[in-house]
Amino acid sequence: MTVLSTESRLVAGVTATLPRVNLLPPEIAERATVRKVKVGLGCAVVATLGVVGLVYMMAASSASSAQTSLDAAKTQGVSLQAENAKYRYVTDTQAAATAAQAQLTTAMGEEVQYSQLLNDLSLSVPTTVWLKNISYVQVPAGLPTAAGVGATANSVGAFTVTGVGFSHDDLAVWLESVAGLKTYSNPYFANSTEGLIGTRKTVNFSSTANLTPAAFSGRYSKPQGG
Amino acid sequence: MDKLKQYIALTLVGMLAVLAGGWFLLVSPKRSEAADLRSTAAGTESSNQALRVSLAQLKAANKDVPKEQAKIAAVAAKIPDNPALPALVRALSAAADDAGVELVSIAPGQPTVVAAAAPAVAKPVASAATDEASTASKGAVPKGVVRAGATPGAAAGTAGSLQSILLNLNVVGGYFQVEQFLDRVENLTRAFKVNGFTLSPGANPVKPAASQASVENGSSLTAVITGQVFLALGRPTLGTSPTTAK
Repeated sequence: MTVLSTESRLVAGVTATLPRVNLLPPEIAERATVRKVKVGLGCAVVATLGVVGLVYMMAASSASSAQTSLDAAKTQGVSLQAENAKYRYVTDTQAAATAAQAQLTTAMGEEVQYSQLLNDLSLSVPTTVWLKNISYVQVPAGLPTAAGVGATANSVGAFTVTGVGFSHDDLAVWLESVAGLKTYSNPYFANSTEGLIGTRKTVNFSSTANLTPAAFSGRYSKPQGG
Repeated sequence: MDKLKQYIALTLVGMLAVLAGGWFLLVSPKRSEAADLRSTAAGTESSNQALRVSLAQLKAANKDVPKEQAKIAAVAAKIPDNPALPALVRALSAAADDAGVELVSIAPGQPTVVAAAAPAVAKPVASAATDEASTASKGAVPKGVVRAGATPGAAAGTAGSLQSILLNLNVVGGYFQVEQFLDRVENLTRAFKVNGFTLSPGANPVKPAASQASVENGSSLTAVITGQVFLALGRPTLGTSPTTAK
């Protein structure tokens, strides 16, 4: 082992000291270098093209994916629209019900239940007064009523009565009883004239009053359940 | 070495050109296309979501359709789509019989369009032909009735054109009998709006001999009642739910 090691050291020392001789012409070496650089540059160009191609492929894939999503959404939209169209009758029915209810309100919203008024009247006529003629005239809201004297904007109709009492005071009682009913306002009278029925002195009178909005039944204008 | 530098420089320029050309001519348009498609897809999905919500609401509302149809039927009974005078005459006669008054006369006027018509709602196109056929099949529309759609302001919508027929009724009976008659008239199946009346002593014309005394003591009264009934001309017939809709 010792001999071999010494020999190796000698060889190494000789090699290090020997001059190096390059017999290759510099043109050839330069051409080789240029060739290597050209190959490298070609590889770089190819790599660039590859990168561009790769990025393009990714963008194209993204576009394709988006197109697929869009197609699916469109298909679903068509399906949903078709299904919605199947339920068109629901909205039609709702609209028809609303319109029908509005129509009924238009027609009957200002209904006055005169049977109720007659009933109330029969309960409030003083015992010393008899009614001979009764007249109710309803007018559309906003128009002046026939009972024009002292008519108010709240009037929805006119109430006219001719009757008989025993004295003028009975007429006063009658007017007070009318004023006590919420469906009437502004009780008034045109005349109160004494007369005779047989031998009994009586008073003939004519009175008026306005109907107030409280006379409306509200059956068709109030919301259901309200 | 100069030549080598030239190669490198040209190659670098070429690479930059390839990168720029590839980006601007190929990649960028594709990315833009993808973004547009994604945006459109998002919009479509948003619309679909709205449609889903609408569909869910319609499905929920579908349960109430029978109630709505019942409401329409109830209104149709109160406001028929034709004058329906025979039914009205029978109803008034029955009311008079029930109340014990003598129905002396009935005088209807011509139908007229009600000014404040119900708000019109878009009419389904599919039902238009049905309406025409339905209206035509009713026939006998009296003179003076203005057909729906021909009159400005008349709502030829879902509820039809609202028209009214004025009526004058003359009845004879006692105070409470007249009151009962009014009560029955006000509660007819068909909507009858009493506009006013006059009540005065009067004899029953079909019982002349026996009525004189009752007139004098006030037990026989003549009531002249003015009122109106309504009709909705051209009311469309709504379709029923399709069997496929669950």
